Amino acid sequence: MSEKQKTLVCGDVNGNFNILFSRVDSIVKKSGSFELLLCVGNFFGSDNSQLDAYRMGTRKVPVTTYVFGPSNSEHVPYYCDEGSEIVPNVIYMGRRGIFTTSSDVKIAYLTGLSRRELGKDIQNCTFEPSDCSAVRDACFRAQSEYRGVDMLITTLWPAGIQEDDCQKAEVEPERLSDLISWLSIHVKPRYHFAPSSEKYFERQPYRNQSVHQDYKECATRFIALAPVGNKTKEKWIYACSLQPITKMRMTDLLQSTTDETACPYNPDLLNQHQPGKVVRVSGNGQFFFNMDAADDDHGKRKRKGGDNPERKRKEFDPDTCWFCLSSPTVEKHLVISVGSHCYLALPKGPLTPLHVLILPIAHHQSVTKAPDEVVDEIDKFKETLKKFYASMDKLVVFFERNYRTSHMQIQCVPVPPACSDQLLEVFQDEAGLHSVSLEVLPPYTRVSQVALAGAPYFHAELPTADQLYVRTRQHFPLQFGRDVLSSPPILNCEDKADWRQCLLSREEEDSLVAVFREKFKPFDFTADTSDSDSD
Amino acid sequence: MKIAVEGCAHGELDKIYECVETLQERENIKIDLLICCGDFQSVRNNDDLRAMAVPEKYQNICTFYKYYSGEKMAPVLTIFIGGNHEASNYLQELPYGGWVAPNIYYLGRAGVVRFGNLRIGGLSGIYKGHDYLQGLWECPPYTQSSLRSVYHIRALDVYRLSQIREKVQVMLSHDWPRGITSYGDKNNLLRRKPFLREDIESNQLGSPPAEKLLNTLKPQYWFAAHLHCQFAALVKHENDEETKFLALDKCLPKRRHLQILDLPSDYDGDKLLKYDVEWLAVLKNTNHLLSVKNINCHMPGPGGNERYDFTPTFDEKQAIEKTFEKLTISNDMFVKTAPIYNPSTPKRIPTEPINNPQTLYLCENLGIDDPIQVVMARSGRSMKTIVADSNNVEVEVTPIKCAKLTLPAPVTPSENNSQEISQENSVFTPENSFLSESGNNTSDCTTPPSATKKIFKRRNLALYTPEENEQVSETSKSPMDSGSPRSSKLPCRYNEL
Repeated sequence: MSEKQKTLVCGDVNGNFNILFSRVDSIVKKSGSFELLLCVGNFFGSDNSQLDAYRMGTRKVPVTTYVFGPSNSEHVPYYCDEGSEIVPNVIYMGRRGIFTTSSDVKIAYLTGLSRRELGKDIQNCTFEPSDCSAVRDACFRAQSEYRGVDMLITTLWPAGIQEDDCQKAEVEPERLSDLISWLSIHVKPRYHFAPSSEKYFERQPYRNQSVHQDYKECATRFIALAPVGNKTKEKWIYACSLQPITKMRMTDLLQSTTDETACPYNPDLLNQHQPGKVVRVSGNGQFFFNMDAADDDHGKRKRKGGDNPERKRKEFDPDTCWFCLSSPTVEKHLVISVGSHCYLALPKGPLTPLHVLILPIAHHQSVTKAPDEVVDEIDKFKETLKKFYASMDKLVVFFERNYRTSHMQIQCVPVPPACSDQLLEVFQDEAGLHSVSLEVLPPYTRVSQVALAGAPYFHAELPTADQLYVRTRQHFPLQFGRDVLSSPPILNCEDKADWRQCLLSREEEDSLVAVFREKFKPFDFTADTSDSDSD
Repeated sequence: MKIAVEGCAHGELDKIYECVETLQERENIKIDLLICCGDFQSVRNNDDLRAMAVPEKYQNICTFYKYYSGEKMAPVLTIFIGGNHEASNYLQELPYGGWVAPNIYYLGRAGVVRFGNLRIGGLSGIYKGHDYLQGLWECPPYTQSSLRSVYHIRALDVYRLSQIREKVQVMLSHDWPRGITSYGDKNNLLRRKPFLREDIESNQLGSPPAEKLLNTLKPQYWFAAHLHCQFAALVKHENDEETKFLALDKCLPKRRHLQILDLPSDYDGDKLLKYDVEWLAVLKNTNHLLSVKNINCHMPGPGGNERYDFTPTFDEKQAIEKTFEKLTISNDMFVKTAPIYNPSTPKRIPTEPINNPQTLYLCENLGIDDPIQVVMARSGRSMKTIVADSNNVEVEVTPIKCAKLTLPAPVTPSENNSQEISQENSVFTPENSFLSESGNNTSDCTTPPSATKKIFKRRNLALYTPEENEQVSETSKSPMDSGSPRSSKLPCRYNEL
């Protein structure tokens, strides 16, 4: 395996397959084999007859070619399924995603036009703000130290890139997108390729900035390639030899070049978790991000999260604990199922009829302080509940707040599968509103590895297995988890955010418990504790 | 092979080497290697004192500086790890290990080296949960908090050590592995150190990452220090292997601070210090995980879509062997990167990190990053580079010590020969070390050549007023010093616990 990957990149092909592939052929003959060819613009054109020879096998595609999503509705029918071959050795990669080549080069892509900035939806040719965050999340996923990706491929240009002291790019205003700027500033590509309608444009590299500590990050080279075989002989194919970013020394990535510039995008974009808050300003036709939008409901949330009656820290008294199973104050009618260390109970004021709590039978304050056998049984309950909810076509969010909590409670809230993509963002947004710093932990971590025993925290486990962790400080909103889950994108029951506002009558509780017990019975592993656990 | 193991050194190198030599004579043995488990205090000069996390009254130069300047030579190869009282600015120059003085080797933040056929691993620093997941963001000048957090163990270093699969015979850590007390005579320990009871009972005593490493690496021996008391334990692993644990005291009279370890001759080999191929390959494989941000970062593990097993493959190890023609770590790699001790210079806070050529060499060859260089590059600052073979600029600033060795010495900062002298001194021959010891202190000052008045005065002050400053007297009196009672001069009696 060689250290570097030789890559070719070309602009709009527009159906000129013969020109493209014969040129690639001659390059390969001259400078050796290349691993891949990336087509960053329109692959198809109005006349695609040249492709037949490749389909029939009379002509061969010399280098494995990757094609990305369409931006013209007329081309849509020519595309095949994602990940399969259009003709032998030409692979359609879909409209968004990230892939890692055999030599560890990471290529992220988001093609098509922006529905929001275009003002209309073209079937299969436009992307949503949520596509931007999906690409970013895919890049960030399970990376402890995010350095950037090797390449980013987009159809549109990031707005701001055309501004340059030395050279001004000639670009149609409709080709510029703020959403792409947002994506680029977040994923920090080393190379950013886009197609250009006429001229070749290579901008001086700009230096990315880190969200943390004003640190520098790697530099980005933006390159726009002219259409294949253009009459004015503008450059339309670009060859590069890439060392994957993960194999490089950070010191080399930070090495500055003499022509390097500052980041041309609005630095505020970096602090924007969601790319969605775009508002059009009619005056100059520019887009800008409405930073104040979040404030609309800020007042309301504040009031909700505000002063709480459980002001002073109470000495623990097992008799008054609401959740110790041995305590006389425990509301036994809410109990659903009892294991050897933990039990399942209906909460007061449930968010949905199937919302339950996992509680330890003995008094433990948090998962981080509980002994192993309790933690093991909690995991068992969680797995069982996942299966249980899955049988009703629901996903489940678990969350635990160890902040002003006496007895550990793990909340299990079923959510519709449709909203699972948005969960992370809604959590992040809500965290932003309360200036709570939210960490995304990799799927395999345990809270006890992150939090010191006894330290307060908020922890949530999403259906994607991503885990969210907050080191809670003073004035952490007590209803944080419920606030998020009751918000319109998820359960849409904001009136239930505070459990005291939605208490049920004894009869309603009784019937909910009965229903849950009945449905849960086939899954309940506590029923057969006598013989070895068979779940 | 005989190895001497020392607990906390606290800068008392003279005494430790004296002990080692006495032992060698008394027992008629030859000690091949001295290992020190932290709090080494490799303080080169007054500036370094300010990079050590101790109250000002304990900022004592002690004796390491003699071995740095060349006045003395360590009689036995010494390997050490960092503890919580260190010249952190100096150790940060050598994150992957290196010579801090001729014959004295620092193992790095974490590291594995070979001595003969013996593999020795170590983990520097102490465990503090709140800093464990942080990136390596500290760099000089230190703030009050970074002065301490700089020596806190980081997940990355533990993660790297946990990738090791080939057997490591000896492991070192400064603080004890958590839970180790239950494998030894706990009651006896509690009688001697009753204040540990609460921590032991709640299993809070010691370092959880060290405990994890002890269980995964299963070394034959594990040495620690930090708590300033001797404690032995025997850990039986699930696969019937055993780890003999020994914590040692600090260097004080009548304390058990030195242990002789007699290893079978199989381990002898060439008795040379060498880089460990597996470790270098792990460093190379995990370089991209290095973070220098002061936020929590998580090491990869199963469940993500990234590689998380960095135990080097056969090919990866071969590649290392190819890049390093010789794995021997020879003494001539040592480079002075800071001025030697001059008692009269003010204690200034070290401001600029220095690019140590030893680290540079390793980083260039392996293709890895020097954490502090990344910090600097990320924040747009530049580093001071020391070029090994050119004239040392620092010597001009404080030429005193170098000059004294070669006699007759005082040199004006402007004179060129000061630089030549400093170069000569970087090669240590028995002759010049002998010279320094036998050379009468007064003689070299009675004949001061045409030096400027100012320097002459300073030298006089340094040599003739021993009662004024204890540190000064040490610079010249050391050969005679050895006869004096040891307990009379123990400047480092502090204890973090």
